Formats: sequence, structure tokens, C-alpha cells
Amino acid sequence: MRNRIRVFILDDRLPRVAEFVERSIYNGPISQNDLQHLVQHERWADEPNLQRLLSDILSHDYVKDGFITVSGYTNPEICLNHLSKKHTPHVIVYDWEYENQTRESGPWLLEILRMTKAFVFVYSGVRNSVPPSLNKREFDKFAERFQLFEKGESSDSVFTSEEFIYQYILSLVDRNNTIRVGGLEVRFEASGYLKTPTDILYLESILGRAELLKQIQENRNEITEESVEKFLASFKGRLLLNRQKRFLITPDSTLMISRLKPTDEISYVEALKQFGLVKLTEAIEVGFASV
Amino acid sequence: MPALSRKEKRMLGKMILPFEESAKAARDKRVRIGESHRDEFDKDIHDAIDNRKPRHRYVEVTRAEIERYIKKTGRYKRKSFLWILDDVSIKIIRERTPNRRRTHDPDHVCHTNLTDSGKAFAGGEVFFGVDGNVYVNPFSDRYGGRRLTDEQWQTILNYFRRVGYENVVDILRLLENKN
Repeated sequence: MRNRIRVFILDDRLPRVAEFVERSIYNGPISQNDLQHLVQHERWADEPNLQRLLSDILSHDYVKDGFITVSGYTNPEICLNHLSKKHTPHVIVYDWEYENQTRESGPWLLEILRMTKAFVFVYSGVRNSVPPSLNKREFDKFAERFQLFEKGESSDSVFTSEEFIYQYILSLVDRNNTIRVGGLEVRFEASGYLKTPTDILYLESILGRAELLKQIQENRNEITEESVEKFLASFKGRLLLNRQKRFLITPDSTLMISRLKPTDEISYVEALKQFGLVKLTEAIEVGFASV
Repeated sequence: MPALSRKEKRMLGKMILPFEESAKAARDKRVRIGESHRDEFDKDIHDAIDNRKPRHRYVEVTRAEIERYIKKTGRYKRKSFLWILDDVSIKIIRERTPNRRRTHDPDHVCHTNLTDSGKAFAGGEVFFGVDGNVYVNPFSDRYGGRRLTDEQWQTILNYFRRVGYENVVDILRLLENKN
């Protein structure tokens, strides 16, 4: 069963076209067809990453089949004025910077979070100047519903910013998709190990970015239950286990070994099968996990 | 309150850089975006050399949480504080302090936000109990206690006591005694 998803793109740097200005297109919600026109026929000199993201979304079959609808806004105020029960988004890509803005971005974002149930990607070209606003306590209760991404960022994770946003949107329609990971087209199949593509970050934490990408390529560009087991089997990692007290300990944790006295040794794959990916990651990261 | 003494420093050996003792591959031992700066959190970081309990987002674990989480799993992320021991003193911050520069875990700071990505002797988690106890573990991937000897771990716990935390409880001891 697939879900129907509405995506709002808020950015004042959508290309300005004379014809659209004449028709006052920019003063209200910009339709999917008009966005399609902008993506296909106009120059996006200032926002190539946003153009690529929009192009990827709009060319997906989910859009053709009506599972994803996309609207654009050049200003948060226009978006707020057009929110209604029938026209509320599931995902918002929220540009942080607006030229000639009369108000700070933070209060706008707060209002959007209050008025919708959407997940908001705060999408910024100046990541480091944003956080002081977002770290304020009034954002705490919305912490699960927004995340900051730098436009075009590709060094921090196996996903680029745009790849992450793209897979997130597709996953809301259906958890099984072809997504992009580190530039690769990858078939993702949800499993007991990885419920959504975002969980790939656990695999990255264990294997490292380069090894993960290598493993994906060696396994037919697929991430499935079977391939996750293969990835970890190739890593040949071992963990110690106190089966009675249910503690996982890494072999280099001399302090924990001397105090918590493991009884068995198991492979990463066995730990994965018995305790899951989150616990395996925790054990590898800090040297200990209670399972 | 006292700074770390020369004798204690000698006992603790060398300070390490983030992930220096980690089993991760060299290329993955990097501090990610948003994890290496401290300036944004200076006002929230509690220096245990000055007084005893942090003020920023201070929270205590209840008796039920101590029984259910601290004694059985050694951790409780909702109410944990991170600690590191640098060459001067213990620095503490509530883990659930938003750090929106991070892509991973933007609701939380990490140990390198306490050190400016610099060196430390060790790091871990600390929990303040309603029972007046201060529960300490050495769980940190960046400055992890996995390489510590038992003697070094005792030195750290004793330093916690010396700066004023009277009822320090070694979480590893609780886990050892778990039924």
C-alpha cells in the first residue's frame, strides 16, 4: 500500500521568468507543472543543487502516478497564508535565507512547525550561522520534526544532503525504492535490520563510508536483508558476549572485559541476527551494549 | 575545588585525540560536521572544578529509572550528561542539548563539543540520581574508556569524589552485580 505525499519547496531563488511574473505565479503556490517548466527550461545559476533535487523528485514515477505532489513558494509567508486542512504538506524543504526579508527565518519556521505536522528540512547555504536560532528552547518540542542540511553538502555522510532528502520523501510513499547513496543508484528493500533508508547510517557507522559503498557495489547495488548480512560477514568483526547478563563487549575493551567477564565470542552477523543493528552499532561505538 | 593533580595525571597516562583509541578504520576516525566546536556551548558546559551540579537542563534520574535502566543497562539517554576529563578538570554537559549543526543526532551534543575536538584523558556518561548518588560510566566512542586499566578508572572515579561528588557510584560495579 502506497501513501500519497505532499511536498512543499520554499525558496526565494526559484528562477524568475517574465511570463510567470506577469501571471503573478510567484505570489501564490507554484504548481507542479510550473515547477516542472522551471526545472526543465530555465537556468538555476544560484541553486543547482535544488534544481537537481527537484528534477529527481518531479521525474519520478510517483509524481506521474499521483503519489507525490509538489508545490513551490518563494516566501514562507505565502506558504503560511495558503495552508489549510486540505492543503497541508508532509514534507517541507525550507530554505533558510530570504533576500529583503522583513522577519527572521526562525519565527517563520516555528509557525510552520506549529501549523503543520510536516517534517521540515531546513535547507541552508550557510549552515553554521543557522544553529543559534534553532537551538532555542521553543524548538525543543519540534525536535523530531526538523533537521538542518547544507545545500550540496557531500562530505559528512554516505548520503549527500539532496540524496538524503530524496530518499526520505520516497520512503514516505513506499519503504522499498531505488534511492541514491554516495552517487550510486541503489535498490533498497526494507527489512528487520533496516526499516528505512535512513537506517543505512548505522551501517555506515560500522563499516565506514568507503567500505559500505564498496560492499553495495559488490552486492549488485542492493540493500536487502541478505546483503546487509553479507556486508557485515565480509567485515569479519567479532564481539564478546556475557550471555547470562546479556552484555556485548568489543574485544579491545580491556576494562569492560575485566569487569563484566564475557563468556562467549560471536561474529558481527550473529550479533546482528540476535540483537539487531542498533545494539550492534552501540557496542562497536562505545565498547559495550546491554542487550 | 581542586584541579587534576600531577599524580593523577601521571596515573592516567597520555591524553588522547578523538577516536585515537577507536577500532574504526583511519579514514572513518573523523569528527563530523557540528561535532568539533565548543564555543556555541561554552555557557552550557559545567566545569566540575567550580561547583557540584550542572545548571543547564539539569535533570535527575528517578529511583525507578535507576533500577530499570542504570543498574541493568548502564545507560539512560533521556537523562544522561556527558563528561570528559581534560588536563584541568571534568567538564559536563547534558547530552540532550540541541546541536543543529550535526546531521547525525541533531538533538544531542557529543563529547567533542566539550573539548573543541582536542585531547582528553577519558570521557563517559554521568547521571544525577534523586537518591543523591552520582552514577558514572566510561562509555564514549570518542574518548572511550575501553582502553583504561582498572587503576586508571578508579583514579577517575576518585577525582570525581575529590571535586565534591560525594556519593559516586561506579556503573560498571552495578553491571557486574546485575542478576
